[in-house]
Amino acid sequence: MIGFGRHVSAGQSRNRGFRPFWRGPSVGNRGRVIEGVGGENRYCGRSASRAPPYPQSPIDTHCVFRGKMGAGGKGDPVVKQKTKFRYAVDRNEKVTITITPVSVGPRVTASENEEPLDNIGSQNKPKFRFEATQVPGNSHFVILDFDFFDDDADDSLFQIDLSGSGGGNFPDVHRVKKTNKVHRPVFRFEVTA
Amino acid sequence: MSTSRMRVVVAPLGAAFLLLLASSTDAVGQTCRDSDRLSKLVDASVQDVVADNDASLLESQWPVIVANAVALSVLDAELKETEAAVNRFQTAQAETARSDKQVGAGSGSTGTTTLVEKVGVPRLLALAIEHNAIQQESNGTSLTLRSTPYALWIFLAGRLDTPDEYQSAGPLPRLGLSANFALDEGENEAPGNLDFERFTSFESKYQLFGDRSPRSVAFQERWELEVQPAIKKELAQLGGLLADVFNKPSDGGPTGLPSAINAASDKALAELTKQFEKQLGNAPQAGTMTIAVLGRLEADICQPLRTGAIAMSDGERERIRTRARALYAAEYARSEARANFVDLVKQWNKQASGSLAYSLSRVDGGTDYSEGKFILEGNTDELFPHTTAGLELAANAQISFNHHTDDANDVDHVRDYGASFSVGRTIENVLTGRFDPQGMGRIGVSLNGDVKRLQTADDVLGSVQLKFTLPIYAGFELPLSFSWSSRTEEDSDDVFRVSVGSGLDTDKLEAFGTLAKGLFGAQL
Repeated sequence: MIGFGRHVSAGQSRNRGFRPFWRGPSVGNRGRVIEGVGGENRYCGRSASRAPPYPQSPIDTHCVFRGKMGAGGKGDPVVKQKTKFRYAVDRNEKVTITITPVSVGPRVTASENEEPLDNIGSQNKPKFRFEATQVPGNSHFVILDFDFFDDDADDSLFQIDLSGSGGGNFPDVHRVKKTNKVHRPVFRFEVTA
Repeated sequence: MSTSRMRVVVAPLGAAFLLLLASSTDAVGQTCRDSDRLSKLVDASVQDVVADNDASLLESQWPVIVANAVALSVLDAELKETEAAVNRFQTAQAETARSDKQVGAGSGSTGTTTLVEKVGVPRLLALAIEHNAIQQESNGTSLTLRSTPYALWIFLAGRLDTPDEYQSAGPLPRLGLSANFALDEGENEAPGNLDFERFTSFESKYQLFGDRSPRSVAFQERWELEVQPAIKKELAQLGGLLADVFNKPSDGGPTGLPSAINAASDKALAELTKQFEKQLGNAPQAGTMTIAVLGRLEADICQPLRTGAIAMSDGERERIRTRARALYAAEYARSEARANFVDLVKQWNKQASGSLAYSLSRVDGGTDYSEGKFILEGNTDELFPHTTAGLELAANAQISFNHHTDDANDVDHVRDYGASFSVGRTIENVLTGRFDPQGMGRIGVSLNGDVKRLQTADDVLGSVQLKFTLPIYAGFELPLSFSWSSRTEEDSDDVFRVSVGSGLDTDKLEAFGTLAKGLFGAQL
């Protein structure tokens, strides 16, 4: 059957702006200063090491915050990044994980502890959400399973973005490539208060 | 390993798995260093650390690694065997996948030296190749560049190749383009310029129907139906194990185990990550790093659990054992579902398809020409919905035109034309079970036709062939054909022929050899 495109609903993400090839694909914002929710700046990627001083765990090499990022700028961000795969969240915070498949079908499955997570986004750009309901000290383990096939392009990948309902936005926090051996990363969210 | 052989592996393992689950024996300990399962998990993470030069990737499945190390301490003989059966099955599956296709290094990878780069292509073309918008292939004397208008658009517009883009591009991803360039010996050694003087042919192919891409909506829907439910069950058990190992019980039970495991896990991860960061700058060895992680797990998790330095209550032990049993069963079910789906994909790749192709060829010292071709293949029931014959059909027709005519040299405008078809199916073999204990293959019946222009005789040659392929014993086939031709290359009279050949099926011959060895042992 020959397809000639399809209608896209208003809710679907479709950035139609032209970005010339010499600027490279518009994946993520590695190594750039990102505007924070509360008007503060955040440093991502390897250039994070050149950011101003900030509290950081010994193995934190990815994104860091400085200043206030909470909703309305009233405090620290509710979702705090300890490492690329480990976060601290407030109780009752809602965490959203958005997946962008690149050169591959959207074959992703997610779970939080022993509960499967339903896709609340579009089929082509899956989105998963859970609420931090564990007692303080306990964790929510989010497992993302990406299924690649031989016929997928060798450079195919999934891009993962994380965000919290009360603040904390982590675009392009990790990419799972076909060439990786681990296609099932685990993100840990520790409930702090 | 072939698909059919893979199925042979699945069935006995499945039966063994059920038997193992039903048995029960005494508790047996296992060290972290001895565990194949743990070694594989750790090795996968370490290989990513080395390949991406990123020590933080060790953490990508660290909770899974630690939880499996904890589960090792509760393995009794039954669970140990169950775990081993799952490992064997997954290893067999992985080997099958590797034999199907190797994942090659991207053109942007370091250490790859390609002919295009050697012959000094223009910068934009080189950039497109680096970003996989154009693929290149060379056999030493010619270079082929392949792409699709879709891939070029994604590259030139600097867009992400997302499923939304792919689906909204309509027919563009189904149009393939390729160009061939001649290379000579000197160019492989000294850089030069790839220019159109070396252009030899261009081809475009449009797939009219039968999208076989794993990115198609139909493929996705089938995957969601056949594989995703098993993945969900596996993730639920794995997530449950992580919660059992790292979280305090919600029922107010003892909290010693999760506290001790969290402390040991965090300390080991932080120190290993620091150690890897140092090693990454100095020719890292994945094998050595894997051994270091396993040693650390043994010292901080497995041994303390075995000796009681990290205490585990009977309730915790039973909960983790129950979870591990359920996890192994879910992993097995997922692997089986995926193996079955891979078989399904192979069938999917045989679905009916139709395509149109156009090619332009340059001829040194002659007339350039263009060729158009129509190709149809698939099952007749799919191609023609009102039929039920179930025949496999392959048909194509082509015509080519010279770009210039030359009466003096007898060069016409129409250069060549022709068409061919083949329909066939297999039927039950009446000899099955009479001579061959393995069972005879089915009899193949096909009808083939061919029409082509004979330029030298200025005439048309038509032929029809009815062919039977008769399996007569394990590994032996007897092709029998009846054919008629309207003429031959040399003679204008029609010809009828009966041919009997012989053929060997090496796969079946190998199976026969194995069977014979089993029956007669060392006598062979």
